[in-house]
Amino acid sequence: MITSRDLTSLNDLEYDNDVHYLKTSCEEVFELMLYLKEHLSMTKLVDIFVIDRLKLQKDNRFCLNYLLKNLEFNKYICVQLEFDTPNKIESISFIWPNAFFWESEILNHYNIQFNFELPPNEFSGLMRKDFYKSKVELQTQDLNESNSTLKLKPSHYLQQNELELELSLQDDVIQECKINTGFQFRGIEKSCENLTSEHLMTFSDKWNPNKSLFFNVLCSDTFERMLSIQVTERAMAIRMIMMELNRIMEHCYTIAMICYEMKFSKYYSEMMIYLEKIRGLVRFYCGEDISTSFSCIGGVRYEIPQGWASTCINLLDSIEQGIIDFNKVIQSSSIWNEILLVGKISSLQALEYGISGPSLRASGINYDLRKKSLKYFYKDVDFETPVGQEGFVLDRYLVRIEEIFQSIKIIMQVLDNLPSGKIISSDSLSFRSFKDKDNIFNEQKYIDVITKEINIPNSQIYNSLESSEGEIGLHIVGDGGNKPLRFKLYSSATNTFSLYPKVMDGLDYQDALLILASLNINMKEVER
Amino acid sequence: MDKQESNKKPEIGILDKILNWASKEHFIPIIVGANCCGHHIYHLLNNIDEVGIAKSEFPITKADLLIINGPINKMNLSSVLDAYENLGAKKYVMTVGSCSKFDIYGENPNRLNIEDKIPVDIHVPGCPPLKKDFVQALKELKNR
Amino acid sequence: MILSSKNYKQHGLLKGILYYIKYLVLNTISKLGRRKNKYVQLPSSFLIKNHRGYPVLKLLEEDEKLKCVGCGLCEKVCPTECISLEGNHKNSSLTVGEAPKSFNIELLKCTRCNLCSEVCPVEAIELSGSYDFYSDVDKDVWTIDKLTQKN
Repeated sequence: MITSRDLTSLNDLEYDNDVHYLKTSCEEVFELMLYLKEHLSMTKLVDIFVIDRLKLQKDNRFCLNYLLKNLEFNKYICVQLEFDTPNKIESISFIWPNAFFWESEILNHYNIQFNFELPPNEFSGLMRKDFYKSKVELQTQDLNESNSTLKLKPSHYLQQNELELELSLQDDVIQECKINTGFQFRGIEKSCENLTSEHLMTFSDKWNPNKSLFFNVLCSDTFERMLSIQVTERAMAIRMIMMELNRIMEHCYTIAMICYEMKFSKYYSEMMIYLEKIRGLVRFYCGEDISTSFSCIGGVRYEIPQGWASTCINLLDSIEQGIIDFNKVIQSSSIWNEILLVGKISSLQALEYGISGPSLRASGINYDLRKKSLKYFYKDVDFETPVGQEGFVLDRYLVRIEEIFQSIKIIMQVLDNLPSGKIISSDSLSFRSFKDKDNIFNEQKYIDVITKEINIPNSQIYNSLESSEGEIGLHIVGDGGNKPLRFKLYSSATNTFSLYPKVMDGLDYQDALLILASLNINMKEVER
Repeated sequence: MDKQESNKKPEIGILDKILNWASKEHFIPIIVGANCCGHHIYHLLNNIDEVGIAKSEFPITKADLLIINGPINKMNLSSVLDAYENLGAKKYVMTVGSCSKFDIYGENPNRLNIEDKIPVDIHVPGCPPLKKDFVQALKELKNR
Repeated sequence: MILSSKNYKQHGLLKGILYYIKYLVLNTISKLGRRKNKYVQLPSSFLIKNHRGYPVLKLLEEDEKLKCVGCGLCEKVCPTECISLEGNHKNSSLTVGEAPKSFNIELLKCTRCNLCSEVCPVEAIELSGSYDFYSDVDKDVWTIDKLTQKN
């Protein structure tokens, strides 16, 4: 236990593992957090979540975790509080302003009291272990009609953001902005506590269907680090290729949405055609384009078919030439460089709220997770990360176009030097390693693994990847059985979501949707 | 049944008859709900040749077909009811995806049963559905 | 790398037109010599071979009986629990056994994840079927006769 008297002993911390755990009591949390931010330079608050340990019958039922990150050395510190009956806990939103979103979610889901108050919900206490589903009763909602507010819903049905903006206007200038959410809540984390590890792989691409390939790799990578399984080299290369293809698809989609808000319908349809062609490539590889589930624990499920590599190289060549022409034509117009100079995010605001991804790089900070945590083959491949000058919408557009070229460069280098061998490692604990090509089985082990499933050890782990919009991460807490005790998803879309209302002071209401399209917030990751 | 109804209907003018005959084999769709199947359906709608589907966006009062993806919350319900009331004279309702009818991966405590609120004509299963099933369902709608 | 400030320049209408004309002339001259398609077409035969369909039970070639042995492994692996079996599999080797009495799949819940065909030791089930079906029934359970239909 660390009390407020011996805070100076933290100066000699040695980071031997990736995550370092500290324990405190409820009264001394605030001082500890202030000390950690100023003296140890933990600039980013990543996550706050609660573990409910009713089944294990320990003394203190709840365990509240705060996860902090040091950007320079890429190390994490996790502060843990344990209590039984919750008192009022002080909120940390004075130090890190993006903590308010997590604390209000914990108040809704677990009934733990904080300093502030919120109106009660009929699903309060949803995530506790002793919550039983009752029938949902509809209450009629009264429509609030007030003259000075304007309710804006997303204008295009393909824009996968279901949120409602309430703007209070005065002569076309925005004074205040409020966001109503709750349209996309599906209760993913509660249903993941009843699934075994093999079933989780098939579920992991429905969390966000645009980024299904990223979440597949993240889920299987976390289990492999927990069970200490080594993957073969060919599987690592195939995973890298699929991740970069998904990055190109997402950037094309964002640029198409910017063009749609500016009413350039010809360029919008051109970018969507590129997206469909790449999606056809992925369908050629594994048979499906949306719910692929191409990776498993221990490697990759499908082999590259004949003729895939050459069509991939030809297609990417033609796309690269097409985007160069597209960029030259669209920047020769006289309005593009002027109208997009709105929605500035300064670098101080970006660091305070903890944004990551191309929105952070457009504000002038050079930070990329692929160069810090050198996984698979990123240390051998030659690429650069583009950095913008100010934080306008124009910078985010230019950064994304440059990133498409760098991703194509990575794929070409990997396809030139594909390693050979098997796609599933022989020491993995899944049933695929007990089956030979000639259909010779180790029969007793085969039946055992399928009926009893893999056991998750009694520990806690955090793993993260760099997706096309920022950092995505996964916490898994195990208790020795074959189902996880707590399963928490983190994505950096929540941080941009809490920053978005502050950017809007003094703008026209027509610019609101343009800024929303350039940030590419997907509400499925925010609300799960 | 059709004969009895046609006895009670008011007389239809010549222009209306021509419009009914002209719009016999095409749909003007509106998509509600932004779940996994939404993207998939948008790409499908642009590539279908056997049934005629309008490709540009129309306002709600001139639309025909309401497509609902995935599970519907308590908060989504108001937009679905709004869209259903403002549709044109002929209304077709279609639900897509198996997660709108069942709880597939464990229990989803938020999901409402749509069939109690709106009369649903047809349901397309699959996760996500194949192109062949979708076209088959559209062809079958004309007989209802 | 820091993006160069050439991209941020603002120019008026006349300069934009001249810029575009210069790009047009140079581009057409350089492309006159090429005879390439702008977009590469993916070979359509490959797309059909790999595409996942709905599950189909396979028959032996000799006497047209089911290949299925009745071990029940696909029932335990399915994540949405839509397969139900009644088999007579005793505790002998995996590849020997009688055909099951009944085999039901609720096709409304199938997500085509391909786990059942990876687990099967005899390769009796495959995702290659395409049925003409739409349905507005609550439960649509398909028995052995419908699953071995040839299309």
